[in-house]
Amino acid sequence: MLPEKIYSPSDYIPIIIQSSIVLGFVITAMLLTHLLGPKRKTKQKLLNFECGIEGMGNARSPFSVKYFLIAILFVLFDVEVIFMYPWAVNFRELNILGFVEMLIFSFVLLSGFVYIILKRAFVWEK
Amino acid sequence: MLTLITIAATGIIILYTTFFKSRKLLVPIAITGALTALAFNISDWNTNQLLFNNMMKIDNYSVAFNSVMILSLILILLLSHQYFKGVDKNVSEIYSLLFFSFTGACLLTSFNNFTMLFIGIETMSIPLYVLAGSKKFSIRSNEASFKYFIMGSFATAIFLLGVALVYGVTGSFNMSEVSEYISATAKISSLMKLGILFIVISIGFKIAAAPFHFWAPDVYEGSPTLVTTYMATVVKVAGIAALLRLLTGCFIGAAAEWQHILEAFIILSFVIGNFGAIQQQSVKRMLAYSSISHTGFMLLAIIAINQFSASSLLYYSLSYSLATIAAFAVLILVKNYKNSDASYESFNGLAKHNPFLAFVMLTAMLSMTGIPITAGFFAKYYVFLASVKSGYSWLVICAIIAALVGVAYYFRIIINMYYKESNSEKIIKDNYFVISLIIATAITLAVGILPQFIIGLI
Repeated sequence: MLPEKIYSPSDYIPIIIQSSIVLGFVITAMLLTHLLGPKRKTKQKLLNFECGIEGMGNARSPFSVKYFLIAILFVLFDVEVIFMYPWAVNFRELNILGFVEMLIFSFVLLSGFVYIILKRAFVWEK
Repeated sequence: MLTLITIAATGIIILYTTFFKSRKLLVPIAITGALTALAFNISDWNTNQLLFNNMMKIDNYSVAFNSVMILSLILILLLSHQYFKGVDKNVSEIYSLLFFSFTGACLLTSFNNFTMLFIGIETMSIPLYVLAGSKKFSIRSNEASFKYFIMGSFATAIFLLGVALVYGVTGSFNMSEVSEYISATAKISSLMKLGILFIVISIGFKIAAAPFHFWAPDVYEGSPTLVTTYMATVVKVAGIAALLRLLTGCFIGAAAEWQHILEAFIILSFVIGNFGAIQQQSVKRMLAYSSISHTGFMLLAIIAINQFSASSLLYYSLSYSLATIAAFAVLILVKNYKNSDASYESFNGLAKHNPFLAFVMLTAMLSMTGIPITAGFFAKYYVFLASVKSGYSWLVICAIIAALVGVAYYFRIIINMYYKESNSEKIIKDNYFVISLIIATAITLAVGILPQFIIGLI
């Protein structure tokens, strides 16, 4: 089924205007700062800036895989929680059925979480 | 519906058995879960339900294919007890990943919406990427996992692009609405054609149809043999069932467009599968190439797209799955016993001291070749019949030539087993293993003698 109103390409002209304004602003702003601003290159200024702590060593040195494990588990459960937002918005419409379905979803999610804890994934020194 | 829930729940239960140190219970729990799922599945026969706002459709087609896949799963689980004997870490995780992957396979046979198809493909594939690499310290297994993952992600991306194009033209993800749109419009737009092409290509990736087969031999060889068995049977059957469901339920009006794509798939699968298989020295790799060639035969049923398509494809899937499981099972034993790379020579003289194993392998090879009284003969016969009815006689002639070429590599194993000497001894196998082999061989023979039981079903 096609949508009822059929849009022609000319309807998208406002989008083209807006994107050209956005792009134009960014390009002119960057060019102007480069051209107008004074340049004083000192060693301190060219250093990598990270939380105010002085950089040291090579960023490519290997470090423990446990960091990756925690990070990936965080991403996993963080993404799952996004599912709760649309449910919370539609809480009234979905009623008790939606609540039960969300309980089931939480149960499956939690069973994975409990598994991870029992597998001692968060124990730093085994 | 209950089938899906049972499979997923069994997966979660098995996941937790890892904390109880009860290795003996693992296979019984898994098989109980699979049998319960089979019972629920069969109770859905003749019900025709539409679930989740028409996202899923459970009909006889999906029930029949689910049954074939659950049967394959049970046979594989029976093999697994002996296979994982020496492994003591993370075995229950492998079982639960198998079940999670199987959930996706069940979705693939009963989807009614592109979203569901996508979720099915992903749910099936993602655990498989892990399973392919489950032999953690083997380089080949890691390579297999990596290769499969990269190829699989590309296929998924192509699939999504295809779905996006189809959605752009029709404005719907629903199969019947897309189908209505196609039959209502006189001329199929080029965007639609491109979308169909992308979707068919990406499913071709999943079922390892040439020219999208390049991952298959390496992945099949590198993965643990049990996982390879699962990939070659359940995953392939699920993918091909999804393809037929998609093409009949959705793109039937555009048949002229995708039939040309499938013609190319079939011819290339025959050529690459067979001539690849002849060259191999490793039996595992040979079986990988032969599975590519079998994909060609299964696509023959799909290209016909008439009332015989579904039933002949079901029959072919059953006979192919049983023969593949039996062949891989014997290969597991021979490979472990000889501790070798599974060359043809390791089968030498198998018939002398292990007549049962040799007989199982003989039936499997005959069934794969398509010799009468095994299921493989009628499988090929019905597939040929379906495509001749739709006027694809020239493809059938190619298929017959391909089947004849197949004799060369299937019979090589039989000759090695029966006519060559070697100083092998009796190979030890546990009861589960023997049961699995007996079931696979018995059904291969029974279905070969009485094909009308399966062929009349759907």
